[in-house]
Amino acid sequence: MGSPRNALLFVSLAGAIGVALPATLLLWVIWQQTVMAEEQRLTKLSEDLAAQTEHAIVDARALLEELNSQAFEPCSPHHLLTLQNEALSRVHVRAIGYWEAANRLCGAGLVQGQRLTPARASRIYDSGVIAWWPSAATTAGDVALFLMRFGNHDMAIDPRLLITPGQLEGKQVAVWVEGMQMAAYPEASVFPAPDELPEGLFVDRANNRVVSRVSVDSLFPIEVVAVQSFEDFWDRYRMLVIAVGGIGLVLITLWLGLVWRYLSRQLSLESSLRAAIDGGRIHAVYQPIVELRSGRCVGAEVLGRWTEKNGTAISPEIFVPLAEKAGLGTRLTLSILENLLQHMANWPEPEKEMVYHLNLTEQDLAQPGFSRRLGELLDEHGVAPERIALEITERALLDSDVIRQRVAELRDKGHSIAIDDFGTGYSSLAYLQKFELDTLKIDKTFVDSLQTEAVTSSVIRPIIDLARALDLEIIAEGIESGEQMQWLVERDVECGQGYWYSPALGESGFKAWYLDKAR
Amino acid sequence: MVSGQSALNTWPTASRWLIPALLIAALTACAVLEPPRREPPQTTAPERIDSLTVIASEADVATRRGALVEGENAVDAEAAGYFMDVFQARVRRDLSDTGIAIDYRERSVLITFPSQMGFESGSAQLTSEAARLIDRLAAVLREYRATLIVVSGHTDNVGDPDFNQRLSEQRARSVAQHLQDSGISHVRLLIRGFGSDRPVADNTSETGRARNRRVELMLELLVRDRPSQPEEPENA
Repeated sequence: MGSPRNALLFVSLAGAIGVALPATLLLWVIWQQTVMAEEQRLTKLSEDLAAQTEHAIVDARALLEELNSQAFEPCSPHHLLTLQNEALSRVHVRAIGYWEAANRLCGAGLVQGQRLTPARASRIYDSGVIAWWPSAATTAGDVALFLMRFGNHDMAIDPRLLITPGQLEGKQVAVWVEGMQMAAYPEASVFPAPDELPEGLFVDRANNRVVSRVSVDSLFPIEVVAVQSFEDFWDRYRMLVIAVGGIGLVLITLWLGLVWRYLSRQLSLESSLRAAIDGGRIHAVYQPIVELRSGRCVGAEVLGRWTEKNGTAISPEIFVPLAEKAGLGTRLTLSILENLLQHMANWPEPEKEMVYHLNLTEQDLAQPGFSRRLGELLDEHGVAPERIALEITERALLDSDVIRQRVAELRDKGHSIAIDDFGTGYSSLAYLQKFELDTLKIDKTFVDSLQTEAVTSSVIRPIIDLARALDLEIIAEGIESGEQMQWLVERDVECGQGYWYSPALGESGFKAWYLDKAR
Repeated sequence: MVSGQSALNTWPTASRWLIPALLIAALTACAVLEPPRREPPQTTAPERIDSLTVIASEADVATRRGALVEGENAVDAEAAGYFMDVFQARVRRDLSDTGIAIDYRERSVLITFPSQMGFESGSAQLTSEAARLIDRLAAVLREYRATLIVVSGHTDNVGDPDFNQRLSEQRARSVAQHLQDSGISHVRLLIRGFGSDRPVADNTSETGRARNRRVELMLELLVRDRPSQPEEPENA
């Protein structure tokens, strides 16, 4: 009943997870990769810019110190030539001057006048170095100059030349030294101050741009703020996104494929089973049950075999649980029963004394219709209920008085009731006593242990004793050797089955085996 | 330069004054228990230039300032900020490692010599260490000429007020004299003596009194009074 709905739910859930999980993972990976890659690039760029800026400042200081230390005759031709050569050898230097107090006596370069004497210094260091960061007060022409004075010499630096636009890859960049903006490209742009920004990369959605701040601490604290439009940022990483996205899609497809394959297999197996039951492709096979002492065949356990039209055999270990899960248990049991009854009609007279053990599923006992259908079929074929023993697993016994009632009814009709696979499930002695039973089948694992002397071998004796106490007949399952048979005979176990006698046989095979035995 | 004067060069100066001081200490043995600075001043500074013999009043300082801002060494108002920045940088470079207190103000720099560093107790004679420091300061002031230098002496309140007054004047004069000897024009120099009238710390503790015994050099920027000239056109 609930099975198709469950399947549908499972399909939807698996589908949703199948898409959402890899897609989320994909997005996360792409974003991480992109941000990491961009931060690496920006760090490299920032370090380069910082190095250039720092080099210019350190070089300026060193040159001023060098000029102060030389005993020039102030403003002599030699002095002026030196200043000029030093200025010419540095692209970013606009002027070098010689000063006494606040008077510029001479110098090299094109900048002169008040622009070189701004009213307030940005920094005065204990070393005696004074610096004026670029500002309106230091603007000569269109350029806000960076000024540095040490002793009697000063230098004017064009900060635009500290940034090579070619290395920016379209980004807008500002370099801050000691918390003050030193250089920017393009110069006119206004940049957010670094102390307002988090370290690293972040997406400024309001302005549709990607902003980053990288701090480089070398001789001076230098910070680089880079701004790029989101489109540029996206353009750069489109290829990466496509590549990672491709891998992600493959993963998603793979995952969905797996889910689909599993589900379709389950669903198709279920519908195939339904068709196999309806089409009579579930055949009854027989494992002989032998009276141990005499070796006489007294019956057989009836088992289902599913052979598809193309010859593929599907194991009962797969289709029996599947049938129960799909609510097909009773139909499976009845289908095997019908097959059995057909076979029985064809078998020779002596065989008609034998008892056939039919396995019931839990659903058989749970449905009121089963018992009736069973009776109808037996009547139809003229088979006495005494010839059909019903095997019930321990698990089925657990349930309620209703089940107990049905088992009692079946037994009253003449069926003998066997408890199957005893010792492996829910061996509750209380239930054993509550149900009216005829036969106890000892599970193969206990019989196996007779050879290996494993711990469980000590369990088989109490089982035998229990069966005796409850007045139950015993059938040992899975006998595979003469020694096992011998041991069981010595303990008066009545019957047994197993490869030692015969595997499960088809209709004709069973007939042949039986006739051979009877001879 | 001047700041490169070595300890060896100053040694004879020190010993010259050490011997008479010891002699006097020996002669006035009964006075040994009293603080030695109660001794009368050992020397008076040579009186070469009139302006250093005059103890200036507030009015004198104003008059001199008024005269100098008209002079050629005063700076234009636009250059005042720049001058003070580069002046401060120069003072920092040359004097920040000496341990004397330097107070950088908007239009002036106040340098405070503690007396225990600058003078023998009760004496107006500069120690060699003080002399070296003043040499270094003089080198700066020779370049930064747009400054008026007001040297004022101060004492604590222990002892005779007249004595303290005289001692403060003589110590101020010694410093000013040394600056003049190092090439600073007497026109830029003014001396004042305040005795114990202007304490900067509590006279009841020894550390407070030590802080009050001092010579201050107020280096005042001389800014030209007249309206600024139009900015000279920039050469292209």
